[in-house]
Amino acid sequence: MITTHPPSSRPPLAQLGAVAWVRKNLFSNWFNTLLTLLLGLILGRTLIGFLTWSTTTAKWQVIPANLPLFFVGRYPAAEYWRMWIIVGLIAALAGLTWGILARNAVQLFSQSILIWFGVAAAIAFLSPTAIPLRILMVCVLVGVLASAWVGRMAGRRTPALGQWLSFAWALSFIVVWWLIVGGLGLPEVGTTNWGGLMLTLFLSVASILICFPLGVLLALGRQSNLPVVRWISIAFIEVVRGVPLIVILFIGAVMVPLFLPEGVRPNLVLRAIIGLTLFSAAYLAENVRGGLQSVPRGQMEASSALGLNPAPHDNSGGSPSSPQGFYSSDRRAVY
Amino acid sequence: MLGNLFRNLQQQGRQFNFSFLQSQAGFNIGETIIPYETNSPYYWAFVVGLVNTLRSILVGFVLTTIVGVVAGIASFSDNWLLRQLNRVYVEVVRNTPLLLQLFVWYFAVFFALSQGGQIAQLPGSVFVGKETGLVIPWSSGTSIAWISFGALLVGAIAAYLIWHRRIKLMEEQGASGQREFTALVSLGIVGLLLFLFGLQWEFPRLNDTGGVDGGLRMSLEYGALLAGLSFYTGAFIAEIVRAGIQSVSKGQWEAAKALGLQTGSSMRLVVFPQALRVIIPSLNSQYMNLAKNSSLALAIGYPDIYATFITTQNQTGRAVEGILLIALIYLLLNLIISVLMNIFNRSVQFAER
Repeated sequence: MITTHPPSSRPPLAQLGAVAWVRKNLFSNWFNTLLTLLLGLILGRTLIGFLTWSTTTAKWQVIPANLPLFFVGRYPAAEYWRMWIIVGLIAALAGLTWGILARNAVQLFSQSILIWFGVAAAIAFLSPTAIPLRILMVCVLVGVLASAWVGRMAGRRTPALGQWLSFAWALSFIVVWWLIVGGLGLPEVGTTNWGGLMLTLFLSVASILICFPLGVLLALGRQSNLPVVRWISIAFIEVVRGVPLIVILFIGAVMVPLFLPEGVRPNLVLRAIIGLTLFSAAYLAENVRGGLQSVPRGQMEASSALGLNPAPHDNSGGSPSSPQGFYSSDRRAVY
Repeated sequence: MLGNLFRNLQQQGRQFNFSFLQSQAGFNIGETIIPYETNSPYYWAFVVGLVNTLRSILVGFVLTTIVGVVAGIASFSDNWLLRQLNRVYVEVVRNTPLLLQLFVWYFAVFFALSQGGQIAQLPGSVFVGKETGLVIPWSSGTSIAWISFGALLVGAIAAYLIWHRRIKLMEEQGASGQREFTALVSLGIVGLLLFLFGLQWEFPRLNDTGGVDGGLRMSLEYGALLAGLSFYTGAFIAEIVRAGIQSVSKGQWEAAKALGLQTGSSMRLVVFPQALRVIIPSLNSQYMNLAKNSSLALAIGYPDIYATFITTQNQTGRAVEGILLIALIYLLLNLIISVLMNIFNRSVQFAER
């Protein structure tokens, strides 16, 4: 017996297809239609204006001409190889860390990661720099992948390697410092010649690192039962949070030398790090305090019931409340 | 440390005192709204700078609140294009430094518009020029305009009182509130007419000599600072507003819908008042950030109090005294903002028994 199936028709375009999507998301009522048209008009005009400007009047050649200035400032050109070693070192370490931490993942290089690396390599290869530099940049990217693979292999063989990662990063910070500053056989480069992205990264990494212990200390000081410690912490945090960063930087640049004994003149980069550290420590202290306060009171009471350092004049430093508090505050500190 | 300070100061031949504030400043301030002359004393220069700072942050508060609330609500829009544009705005602005954005507003927007000394006309009768600055339509400030402005204020207060009375009558006596509603509508119509015609809007227009007549004039520096600060802080406020609205449970939306409220009404009457409890405390710190960030005005040459301080410090070398003064002023400003916002905050929190 022959049964004839009625030919299955495609779903109506107006309910599922692109037309329906457009109708639902862009033209659902008169207000949305008006809004879409208005926004489209503004967007179109801006895009056209930007495109005509960028193809006719803009002078893009200033960017490749000043590329070294953007990245390293007035760092002597003969010492650029040190910058490349730093980039290579950080790339290799990042790859190793990735590989070791993800040693148990089913697939190390997923499709999306490879696509991103491909895009990055394409950008590096098409960038307006000298040919050897482009090859070097692609090599760095390949180096990240290669060291990730090595890290995965090594991590599988000796899982204890994971504990050494933070030590390796700390060591690399010292090596990077040595490479930038010079000395010990390398020609020294004064801080007046630092600049560009290198200086930005250096300042932020250094002040983030230093502000962490200081911020935690301030947060604990604010919770302390000792009135002097508490009041000094509160005063510091509130004053720093109450004035603009530019004022703090001014204090670091102009006032710090006045407060130091004669003859001690820290250089400008150090003064900037001092200013940035004091500033971010005050903000971090408030995040940590929020984290500490989010731990229920019962935890403190439970810990003293267990006999864990319940001394009333001591702050919560040794009690279980701080691991819990830090867990919730370090997520906040990321912002 | 203090000993070091005094020894160092002494070595440079300076005593720690504030008497320099009395001597002649001798520098010019680009724009002032209270009288200032080159030979005014330093303390007056600081006051002029403070007024300029206050002028930028007070107007900035209003603009940034509008931008932030609109952008925050826009992230819940049905319109896909609006949602995406809003996202791009928030992410781009939050992830670039304010200093960069100020330069973009000043050089890439305002200066590029007035390229070659020309005066550019934007839609809505807004003019931008290198010398003329930014000119927008504004009330002409005649006595009729002032009377209308006063009438508008009185009308707004009256409308608020009537609205309260209407709700009270409806709740307590079950009245229909029709009489009060008519009064409100007629007040609204009168207000609209007063706003449109009574204020005597003055639209700036080009004159024969190539200048611009009429309207409210402000410098490009002020305009760029205001735009930069409001859009920067606005992006953060948008995220706060979004978080606040999302923190209201879904059941509230559904309950509002079950009562027959439209989407707009349920946002305005049910969800947003509850979201305010989450929004206000975070808003407080955003306003404080705006006040502090206004010190970046120095970078684009707007003479705020920090710029005045830098000039003073260059001339007199009084770094310690000046920075104490500046820090105190910013602390006071932030304290005032904080106290006012806390009072406002208390009024929107739950009345718990």
